[in-house]
Amino acid sequence: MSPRRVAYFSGRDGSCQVQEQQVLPLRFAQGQDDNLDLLTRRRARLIAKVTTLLATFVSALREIFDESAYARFLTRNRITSSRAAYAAFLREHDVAKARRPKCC
Amino acid sequence: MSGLLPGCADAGDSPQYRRRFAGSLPLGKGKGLAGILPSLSTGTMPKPVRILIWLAVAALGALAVATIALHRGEQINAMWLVVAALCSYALGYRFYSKFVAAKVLALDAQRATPAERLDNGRDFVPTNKWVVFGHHFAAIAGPGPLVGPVLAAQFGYLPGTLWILAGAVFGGCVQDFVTLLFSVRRDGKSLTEMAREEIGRVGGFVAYVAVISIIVILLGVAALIVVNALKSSPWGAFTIAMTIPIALLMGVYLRRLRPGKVLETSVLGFILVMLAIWGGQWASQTPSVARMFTLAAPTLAILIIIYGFAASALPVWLLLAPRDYLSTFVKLGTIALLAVGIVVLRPTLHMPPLTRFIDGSGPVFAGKIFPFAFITIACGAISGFHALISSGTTPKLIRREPEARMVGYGAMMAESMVAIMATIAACVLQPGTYFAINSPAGVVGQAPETAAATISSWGFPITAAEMHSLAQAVGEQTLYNRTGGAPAFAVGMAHIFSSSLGGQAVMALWYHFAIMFEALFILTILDAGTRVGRFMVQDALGHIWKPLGRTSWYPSILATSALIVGAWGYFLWQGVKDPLGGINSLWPLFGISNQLLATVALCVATTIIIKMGKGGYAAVTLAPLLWLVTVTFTASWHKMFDPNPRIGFLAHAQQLASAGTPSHEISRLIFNDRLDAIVTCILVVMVALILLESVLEWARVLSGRKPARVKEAAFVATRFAAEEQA
Repeated sequence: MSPRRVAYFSGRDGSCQVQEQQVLPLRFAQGQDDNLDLLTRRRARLIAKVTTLLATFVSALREIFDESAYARFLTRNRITSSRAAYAAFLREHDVAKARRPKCC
Repeated sequence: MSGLLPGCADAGDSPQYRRRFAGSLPLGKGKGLAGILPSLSTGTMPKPVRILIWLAVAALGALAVATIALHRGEQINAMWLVVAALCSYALGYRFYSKFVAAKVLALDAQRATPAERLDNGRDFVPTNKWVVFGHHFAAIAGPGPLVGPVLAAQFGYLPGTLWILAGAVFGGCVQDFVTLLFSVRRDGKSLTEMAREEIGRVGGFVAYVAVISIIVILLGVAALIVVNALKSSPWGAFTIAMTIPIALLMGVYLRRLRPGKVLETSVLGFILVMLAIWGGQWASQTPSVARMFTLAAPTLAILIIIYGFAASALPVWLLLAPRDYLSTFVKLGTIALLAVGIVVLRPTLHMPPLTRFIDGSGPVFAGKIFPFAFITIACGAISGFHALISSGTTPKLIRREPEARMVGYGAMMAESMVAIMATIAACVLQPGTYFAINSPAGVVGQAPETAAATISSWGFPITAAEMHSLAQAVGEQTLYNRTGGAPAFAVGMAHIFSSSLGGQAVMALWYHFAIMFEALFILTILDAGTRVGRFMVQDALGHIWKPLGRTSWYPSILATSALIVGAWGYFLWQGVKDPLGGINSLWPLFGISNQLLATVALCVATTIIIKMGKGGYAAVTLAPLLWLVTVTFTASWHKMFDPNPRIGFLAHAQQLASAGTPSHEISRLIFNDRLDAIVTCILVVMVALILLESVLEWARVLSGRKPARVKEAAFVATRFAAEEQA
């Protein structure tokens, strides 16, 4: 069984990272490891999926509210968050934001 | 491709198409929501079962549509509208958008998007598709899908619902999807740039003028909705007034105290706004404060014009950005709340499916069901303004080309669902209540008894006592003549929630929450729209005299801000002074300009499809284009030349002029009518020009006189596909 790509969201910039993990389909895993309780595995998978959903939701909010843009700005300029850094971010970001149309 | 809905796991049926899509999954092949909801996804369910499930969805949708279309003389539950909508969207997304993606656009999972090629961590950023979906939905969702369906409910719930469903699935979603994809393939170029490159200079110029016009008319109408919602309402005026210092506080908090913590600041702002709503009750019950915030419509109009000018000239970080965050937060929360409320409480629709006003004699706005229902509801069905968003920020964030389907088509479906919810909110009201709120004094009379008697004579019984007790229940002095749609929507929303959450005791809080939500929303659009318009004017004037184009030069800022604010302020003032309530003439004008912009977007899309050598599939955009041309040109003709003075601008001017020697006020009304007719005429002529230029271009390409060459960015293979296959 080949490893599968799964996504996680880094806390800092909200971007989607991809890494390989051994996530086995349920019926395959059952045959491989009889000691694992079916319900436990199902619950674990459900929790993982809910976590992914929540992470995606938070990432969407961070993108909508420009927190991700600020995080990218800090990463790009290799600086930490501060009043001066945020003021610089706003200077760069304001022009784009002010030109962005709001729909009706 | 992982879809928004179960069963959308693949974008095409052929193995080749499946292979091309295979690399497009940021959350793992075959996963995403389709993996979470186990699953109609093609890999885990036998084909016959899937076919049976989709047949069941189609049958359920047909049953729901038949129920809402064929029931006469008895009330139906709002859930039928929800079920009809969900089934239509599921079928539209699964089959129609898949067809467009595979056959017409040939989405290429191997092709790098501008977000990948031009990634600069600033404008161009490859972003997870669900994040882009949320971002795009937050940008396209405005007050339009809430107000338009409420106004169109005067025809009954049936015409609006059918137009929202069919218009979205075959028109609006397709327009947003193709515009987004074509912008992605052109390095995120704007609609005006694409029009200039693909159609010609006239196309670019018309698109530019259409955008400016729509912004000005939109802002005038939006401001009028706020004025009508807040006039003589100390509670509402106090709450909205408080949002200005709250936004300023948020701006300072963000910049000085907690730099970059926008979500945290938005939550704080939301709590303060909730306190402002609660404080509004105190303000309305304290005579000295209530007097201060009980404002007449002209006073409110002047205050909003001053506010718009100040917001355009102030630094972005101080007012515009914090208010934008706050309103987005409230908007997403309220839409989610309304959706949950409708599904959980399942209210009954009291409005009949069709009313007598389909004949054009409606009190909310005059005009027959065709064409006026189709321009009144724009944003929930098809909106040209969306093309600006689809060719603005969103194409610069799309990570993989196939994801344009979910973002473009899917987000418009969500917007359309908001319009369905607004229809429900309006139609749960007793029709008599709905017409009492939405009818101008010029139609039903000024005195409560007269208005109630007029409305009752139409077959929608209502008494002055009932309206008085409803006004008291929502904490208002009166609910008569509150045109514009916002108060009716707020009463509908309060009605839905007060039936379970807190009962009648908190109806006033729910009402003012909804009013605050809409007004906040609209004021944000005034801020942002004035500024966008200002930049567009500065860009244009910069070609004449360079200093005027400098966006940081204060004389230019003040002059262009005054120009834009003066333009929409004029329409606002015209609406405030209009004895027919303003909405009667201005909302159709807004609808016409918005749909004409959609015509421009569909002209661009059809031209590109033909140049791609896919002329056989051009009907995908040509059919909605022809429909829009028919609707908007017919509506424009009626608004200009209809002999009924309630519909035709010129007939109304003629009626006023023939009444004797006109006073100063009447002369101004006559001038306004003629101005509206001229604006409509200019818009129609310009769109006719772009249509003509497009048709000539299609003829040249199809006849072989001109090579079919699109101006796409050169193909570059995406590294994401290789990474995912490794």
